[in-house]
Amino acid sequence: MSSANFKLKVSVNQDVCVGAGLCVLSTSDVFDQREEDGVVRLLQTEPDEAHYEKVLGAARKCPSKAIRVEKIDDTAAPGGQP
Amino acid sequence: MQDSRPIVIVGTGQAALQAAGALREEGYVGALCMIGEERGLPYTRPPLSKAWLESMTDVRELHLEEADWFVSNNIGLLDGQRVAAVDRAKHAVQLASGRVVEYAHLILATGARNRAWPFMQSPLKGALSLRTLADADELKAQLGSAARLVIVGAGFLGMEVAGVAAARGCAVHVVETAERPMTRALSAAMSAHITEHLERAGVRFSFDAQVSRLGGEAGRVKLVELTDGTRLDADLVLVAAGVEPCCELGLDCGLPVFNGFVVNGLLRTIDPAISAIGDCAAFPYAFDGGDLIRLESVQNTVDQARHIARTILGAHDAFDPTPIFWSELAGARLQIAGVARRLDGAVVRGDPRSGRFSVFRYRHDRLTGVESFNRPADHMLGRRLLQRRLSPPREQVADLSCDLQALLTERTA
Repeated sequence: MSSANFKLKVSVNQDVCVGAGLCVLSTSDVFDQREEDGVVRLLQTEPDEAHYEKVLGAARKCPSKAIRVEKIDDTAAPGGQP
Repeated sequence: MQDSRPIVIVGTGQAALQAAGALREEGYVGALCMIGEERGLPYTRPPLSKAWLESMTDVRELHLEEADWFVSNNIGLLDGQRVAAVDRAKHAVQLASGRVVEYAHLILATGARNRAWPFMQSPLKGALSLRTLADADELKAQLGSAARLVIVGAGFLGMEVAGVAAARGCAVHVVETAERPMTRALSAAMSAHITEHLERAGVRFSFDAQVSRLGGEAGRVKLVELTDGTRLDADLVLVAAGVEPCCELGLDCGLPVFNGFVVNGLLRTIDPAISAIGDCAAFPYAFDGGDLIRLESVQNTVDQARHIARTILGAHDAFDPTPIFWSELAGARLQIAGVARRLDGAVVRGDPRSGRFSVFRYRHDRLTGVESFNRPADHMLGRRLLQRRLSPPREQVADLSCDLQALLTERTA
């Protein structure tokens, strides 16, 4: 994923999150858990490309399927960014 | 590890995949492969009795990693291959195909299978069980046209499916041999509330009840008869009567098996070159003085996978988890921290009638578990208390106006 011509947009559903915290293990730059109840807290909605693999992995591994990742075409960067 | 032989993982479920991933993350660069019977990419099972039956349709969302991940991480995936034997003296496994694979270290992540049920031996159409993705697809397809579903077993799986099916307009009847649902995991107070919650969603129950036979017509299930003579009409039956660990490999090569491969705090069997993790491993629960337990949960699987990766690469700390579990039951969120035993006491916090409450479990004055129904903050608190072996006095727990968080901050300060 060195020259993606898409962007990832991340969203979370706090109503179904069970606070397992696997997403934070994947990447604590993008996901955090609320102090009081362990529910997911999103730190960035459009993370840096360097985090894409981890973010996609976190979404796949989330046991309650609380993480949604949308691929959106990044027409502003044809051929990708360095 | 100066050994050209690979680390071999038996299994292609979540435990196996997480162990492989953790080994790479921890810096292991040697050869690594996963071998398992099921075909296809490793997938996550929890949604199979929840979102997959409800709304999810894209199988890629169940895959724990995509095919290119195995390539880029140089992890061999030998799916559709059964390991038939372990030769401990030669450090090798033999596949059913005859192929022999040597190992530097062997991780058994063979998982569990649904317990055999006598009535399933001459299968009727419409009498199903649920463990694999293929099972879930079959159930999903048949749920579409089913009007009457009988579920045998009121454990997590049966109760989750009951909630989903009832929401789809199916008449659901759950038959359970014990006097209440989820007996192994929950206090009587929480069990009773969950029963009421599902009854409100339209689910009916027979407790203290046993199936005597399944009746069929033209090869298709038609009714479920109980030993007391009750006949339940059904066009679909789900048997959700629990699982047993897959441990045949250990029996044949002399590894101790007692409700799972017996491992020590490092998750090693008596053979230091062989470990076991996940649903198939019976490990010493440090919190309970090292009594052997076996857990069936994603959290346990992930924690053990990370632990085994670290210890194979040289760490020496014993596995000391605070187990957590969760379930989705007809729109409610149940979360459990710790592993309480059946006779452990119960203190209710909050009013169950409000639909948000927790049950704190005690053995004498010691907190052993916290069950939370739509109260995630109590769950988080419970995790932290158990992690630090703190036990709030029962009277404080019973009093909602008492701030239990203070207990944590006091001790940290």
